[in-house]
Amino acid sequence: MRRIYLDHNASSPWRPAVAQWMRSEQAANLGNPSSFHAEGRAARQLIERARTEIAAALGADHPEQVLFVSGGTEANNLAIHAATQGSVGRAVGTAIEHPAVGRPLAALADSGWQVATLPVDGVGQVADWSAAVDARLLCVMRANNEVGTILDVAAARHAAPNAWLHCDAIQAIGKFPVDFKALGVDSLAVAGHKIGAPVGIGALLVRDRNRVQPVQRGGGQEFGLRSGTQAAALIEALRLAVVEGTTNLMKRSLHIEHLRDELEATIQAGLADNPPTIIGDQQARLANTSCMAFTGLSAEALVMELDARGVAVATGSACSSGSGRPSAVLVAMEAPVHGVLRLSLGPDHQPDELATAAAQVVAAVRRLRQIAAPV
Amino acid sequence: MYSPTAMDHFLQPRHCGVLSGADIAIGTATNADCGDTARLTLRVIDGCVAHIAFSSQGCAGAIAACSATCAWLHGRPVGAALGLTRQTIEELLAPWPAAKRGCTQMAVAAAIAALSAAASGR
Repeated sequence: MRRIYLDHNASSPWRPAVAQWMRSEQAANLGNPSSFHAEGRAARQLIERARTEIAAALGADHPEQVLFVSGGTEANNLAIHAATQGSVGRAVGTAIEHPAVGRPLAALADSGWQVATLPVDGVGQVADWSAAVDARLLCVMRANNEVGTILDVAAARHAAPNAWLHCDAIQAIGKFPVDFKALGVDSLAVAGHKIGAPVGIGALLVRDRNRVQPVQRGGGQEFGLRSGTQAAALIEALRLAVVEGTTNLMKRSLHIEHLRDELEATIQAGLADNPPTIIGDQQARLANTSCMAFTGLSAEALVMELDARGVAVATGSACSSGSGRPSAVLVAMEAPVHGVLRLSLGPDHQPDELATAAAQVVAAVRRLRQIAAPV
Repeated sequence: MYSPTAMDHFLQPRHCGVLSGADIAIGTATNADCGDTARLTLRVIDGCVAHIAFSSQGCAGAIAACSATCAWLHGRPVGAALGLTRQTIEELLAPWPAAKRGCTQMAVAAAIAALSAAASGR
């Protein structure tokens, strides 16, 4: 049975160019980028080329605004640390931030910060930015990982012109245009494994890196702001994924959106007697993401059933799906919290593959509804 | 997280359905932690559980627990069946996740309710 993977918002398999690179002799033989010998210099050159090209792909003015880190969680934590260390004030984040933002934000209360949450409406948009007006730190994700809603970062900047504005853009990159300078943000988080690079690499873009204080100290790599030997092979993989993900983006996005819409329509038609509810902002939603609520069913049972049928989907954020707690995002949106599946497409699906996936979703829902209410 | 036995009960549940008739005993239970529900119907003939069926609006664990509970009860004398505990079902499905004890508790509670109803003639 050929499996169908529809969980790219959790982790996206290596892109072919990334896989080719990671298996190459060059990747296997890189030296320490701080060394003077040829192997070290080769690693260093890869890192600086990646810094330059990622800066350009994501709209940063200077390559030095790109700091390489271990992934999205570190990028978000480092940004929040940079924005808040040595001071106190008001820190505000939307109610649908990823825990990698929400938890470090909440922890600021221990340091004397006043921490507040911006409520969202039923589609995941912030309707009222007034609570952010006097924020010193404002965290607004570019796109939500569970429902795909694309947030209005420009409105955030307008509401709090003097705040350190941090944007978790991890789900948006490769799916929706991300322009660091145009967004007007002070920092922006990037994670490699959401766009087909390996787990273990990410980046933080910072407008003014002089305002960043290191969390981890050591050899002084990354301008002294993130010590630790740079993972040159992974950084090159990140470059390949970011450049591919941001090239011809709109054309690819329209194609994926068409496939996603077909998938949703097929599932809804197949369950016309009791169709799922589509959650999220239908006007401003990631093209690859579909969040659907199936009345009267357990999301966990649906995921297990679909897994047995060869289709990989998620109940929501994979980070918390094992917790048994309802999704904080769905709770904040006052959306259905039971029987909610997230299907997130990758860049290479064929229509017949998604038709099969839709048929399996319909069959899985029908079987579980039969168990719930046999006739 | 689930054992192969538990997955088998989830994917191919035994005794899934509903019984009807004047001689049917019914037991229902809810998992207070998550809202999952279980409903067991059974028919006792000559003091034994002759027919049994379940429905469950619940997770994979709830369905597997109900299936295993029905399989265990089928054919047993009511008196012996009333001694059923959560641990018995968890041993059948072992290793059973600690986080899913509410599922076995719910399935057994529905079973005991149905058995009690049958024993009292309700």
